[in-house]
Amino acid sequence: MHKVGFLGISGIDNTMNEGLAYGSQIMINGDSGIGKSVLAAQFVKEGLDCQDTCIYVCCDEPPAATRDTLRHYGLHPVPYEERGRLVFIDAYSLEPEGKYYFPADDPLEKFLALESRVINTVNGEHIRLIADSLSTLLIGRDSQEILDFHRYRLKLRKKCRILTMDLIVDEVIEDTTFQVSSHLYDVIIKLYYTGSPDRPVRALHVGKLRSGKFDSSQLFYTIDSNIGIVVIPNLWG
Amino acid sequence: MYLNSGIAGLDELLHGGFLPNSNILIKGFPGTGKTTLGIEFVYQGITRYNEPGIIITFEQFPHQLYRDAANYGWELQELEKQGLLRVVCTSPEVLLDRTSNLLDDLVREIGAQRLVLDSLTQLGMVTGDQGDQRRLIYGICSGFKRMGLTTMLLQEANSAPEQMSFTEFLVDTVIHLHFIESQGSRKRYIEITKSRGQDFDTGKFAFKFDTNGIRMLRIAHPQVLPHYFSRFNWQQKLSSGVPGLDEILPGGFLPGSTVLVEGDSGTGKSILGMQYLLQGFYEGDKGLILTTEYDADLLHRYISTFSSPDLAKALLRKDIEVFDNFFSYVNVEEVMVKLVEKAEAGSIKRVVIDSVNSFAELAESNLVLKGHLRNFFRSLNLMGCTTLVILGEDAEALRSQLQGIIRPLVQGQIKLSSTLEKGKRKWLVEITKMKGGEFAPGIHRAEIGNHGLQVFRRLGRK
Amino acid sequence: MQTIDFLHKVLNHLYLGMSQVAERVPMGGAYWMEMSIAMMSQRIFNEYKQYFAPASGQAEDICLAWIDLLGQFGSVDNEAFGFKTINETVNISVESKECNYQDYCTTARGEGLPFVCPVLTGFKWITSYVTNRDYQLDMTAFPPNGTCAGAIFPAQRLKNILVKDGDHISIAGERAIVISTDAFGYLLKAIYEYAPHVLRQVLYESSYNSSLAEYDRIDPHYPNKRDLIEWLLRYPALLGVIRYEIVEFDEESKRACIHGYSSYLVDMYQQHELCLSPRISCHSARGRLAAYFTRAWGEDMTCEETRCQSMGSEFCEFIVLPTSS
Repeated sequence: MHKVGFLGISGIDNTMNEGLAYGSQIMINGDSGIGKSVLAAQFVKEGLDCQDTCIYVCCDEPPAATRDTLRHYGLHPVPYEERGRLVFIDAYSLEPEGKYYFPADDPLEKFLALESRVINTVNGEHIRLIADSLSTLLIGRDSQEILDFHRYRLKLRKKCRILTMDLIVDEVIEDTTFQVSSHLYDVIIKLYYTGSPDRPVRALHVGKLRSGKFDSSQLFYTIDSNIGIVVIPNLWG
Repeated sequence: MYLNSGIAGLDELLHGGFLPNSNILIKGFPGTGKTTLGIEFVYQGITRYNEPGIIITFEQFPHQLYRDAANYGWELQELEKQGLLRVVCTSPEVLLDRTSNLLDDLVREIGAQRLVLDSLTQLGMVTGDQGDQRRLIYGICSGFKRMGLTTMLLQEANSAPEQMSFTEFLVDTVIHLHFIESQGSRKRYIEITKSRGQDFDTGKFAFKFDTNGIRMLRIAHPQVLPHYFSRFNWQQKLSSGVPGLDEILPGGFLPGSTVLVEGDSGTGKSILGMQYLLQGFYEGDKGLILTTEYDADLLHRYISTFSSPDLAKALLRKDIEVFDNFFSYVNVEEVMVKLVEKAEAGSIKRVVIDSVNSFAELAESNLVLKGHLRNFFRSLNLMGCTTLVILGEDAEALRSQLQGIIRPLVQGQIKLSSTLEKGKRKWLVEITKMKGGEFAPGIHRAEIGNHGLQVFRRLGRK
Repeated sequence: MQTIDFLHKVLNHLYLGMSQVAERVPMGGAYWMEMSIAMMSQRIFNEYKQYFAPASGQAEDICLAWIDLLGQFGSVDNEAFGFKTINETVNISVESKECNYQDYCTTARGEGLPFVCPVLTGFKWITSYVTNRDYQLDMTAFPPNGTCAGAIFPAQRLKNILVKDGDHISIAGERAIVISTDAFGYLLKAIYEYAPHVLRQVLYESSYNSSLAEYDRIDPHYPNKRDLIEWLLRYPALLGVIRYEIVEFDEESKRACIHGYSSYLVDMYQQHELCLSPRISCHSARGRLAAYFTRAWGEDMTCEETRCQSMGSEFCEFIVLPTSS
């Protein structure tokens, strides 16, 4: 039986009994501050728990900040980094310290080459790739370039059977481009606020485009300071 | 219609051989190999073409001659016993004595068809008068022809070139043997300056004495030798060693192919070549680089700027052989032969020619160069070598001529270029031809950094 | 062979047999040996107490009186013993060739069986009994030829392992229960069913907190941190929880690497399907190690399990490091 992966958030994982085949591509979409990076941290933790190798592309904050997040949610990154099971690509810092870094305004071809190089270097059997946030890399680039990049990158990652999670911040990418790009993903998880403006509630919905139907039922969630995203059980059945 | 000399490579220079019944003048300084050439001419005639022969020498005693010939495995005394050869050790006076009919008798006795006379110089000393000399030699040459012989006349070249220079006008073919000293080693060359009634290759061609006699160092149309085929895995592509390049090739280079790498200076051609060799080092493939730009030391230092000391180690360990004394060669074919020999002897898998422009400097004409290059590339390909041929910057006309010559001969073509964009240098790579699979077309970005050349596949559809 | 020699051999083999049993019984170990010897000493004392005449209530005198008692009946050569008191510690030495239990001593230690020196344990028991104060035993040297050395010194009461006391069983003074993995498994399953996201954390934290308490109870008895941790890590193996093996113990850089074998949680996760896909499982073991090392090295420590038998690894690998590193 082929190994499948999960997100590490039980409330969502339970709705995907068959799990995610390695090579699937997940898009996490939402406003900044809604909890995308928390979700990403849980995804990494889940991956490391399952002995996967995780590659984390840091575009919005330095790797040190991501390490802190992981520690905060109960995973100490250092032993995994030492064993090459957790690798950071620094696409944020001006003066990066890590082994892999990418100056954010360099051509996207170069980013792709770097990502591929890291993937080839880590050489784990099951690899998870997280880009937090991929949208930051795309700022200021023209639509055609973005689409070309997206298409080619996801094709490559699928071919190498890498479980990919891309974080996309709302409204960074122009609408049409975003629409077309989002069709390239197997799973889309949208995080958003709902409820009344004075009492906003966090909610998400999981869309699986490839299976033809888009499950748009919404799940409410909260962010627990030790565990991360916790889906609130549906009290109405 | 030709008479084969039997000397490896010489007949090709003459486009077939000597004209029968002709007089061939062999001219050269002492030690250039005139006598050996002469003896081999007769020996090969007897043993390969069943044409009995005569050796006339004024210079040596027979036992000296026998001994020298035996070094090449030529058993002259055996042939004499069989009545196929006569070695005559005499003086010019005896030979010229009209009453003796010595020569006529010998020719008749064994049915001789070839003759070598060593030497014309001694013969000329019979008289001090140039006019007499001329008449004498003319007479003897016509005599040989009358007897139906094809004759090699050996003549000492000397510091006074005007002396007996008329001989060249009396004979049908003139062959010069040179002994040229260059960079501490002396090399032998053969040059045909005249051959009446036939076409021949002009220029100096290298030859050497090996165990079987004279061997011309010519890059001939290669022979397919079965053992080459078992030598390598012909299916497995060779990684270029340039990050990203394999992705667009795709997979690397096809074994046994020749790939042209073109570009202005500073576009990364040489680096590409070295990364290709370095990759070979990592994969255990032996490499060979012909460099006209660097010597081994400079090469070492150059490589260290973008690589670890690994390659330096490789160079020291002879995993990569460096051929850097290109310009000590006089003839382009000789270089090619040397490279093919090295590739053969060293089981070389990866070859880099940096740069091919230099070949043009040694070649007499583009037409000649094209033929040589074709044979050269084929020889390497058949041995399983995968060769990167670097074509560097040159005068525009020269460069396009070279492109015209080389492009049809290669299986792959990589163009490197660079432009300045907003004050930053931008490197570009394009594959315009590549045998062995579908390559990624279009112009891809590249970069030259601390680790050498890196290629980034172009995004987007084909 | 003389009858006396034969009986001597039987005695040594009897001890070896006891050590073997002590190793095999669940929750066994050296403690049982110590307890048997203490009970045997008690019986000897009860029967011969009229011959027991210490010169004073000092520990050294009590030991001298005990050895005299044993010497009178010919079971030991009391001349072979030496005593020296420094502060409250009595250092005891004995010529090893004169020791009746040399055969037991050498064989048991050679075979890795739980070993407790019957002679020193006798001194410990009599001193504790007479002074009504707990003494602790330290065996320091066992040369094959020469002088064995040990010491007894006053200590706090160390309830170091399972004790049955009326209706209660206790471990290190804490009431303990033995439950089947099924019973525990259904407990975990229930947690998992209702709140799958907390299971990992629950296992880690519960174990962390109980292990801190354990450490604190044992700490005063072991001046050496490594000895203490080794002792603490031995008892989960006796309880059938997990067997630990210290691979790296670097106090200076605050790094430890511990291998684990036969962790019960590996089975538990698989049998009771406590996850959607195979994963590392030994969160209690992590919590325990984090707690012990936090106390031992005086800094908040974390433990990560980088390999697990549940993922087909030969052993579980635990890395302990400061949380803030």
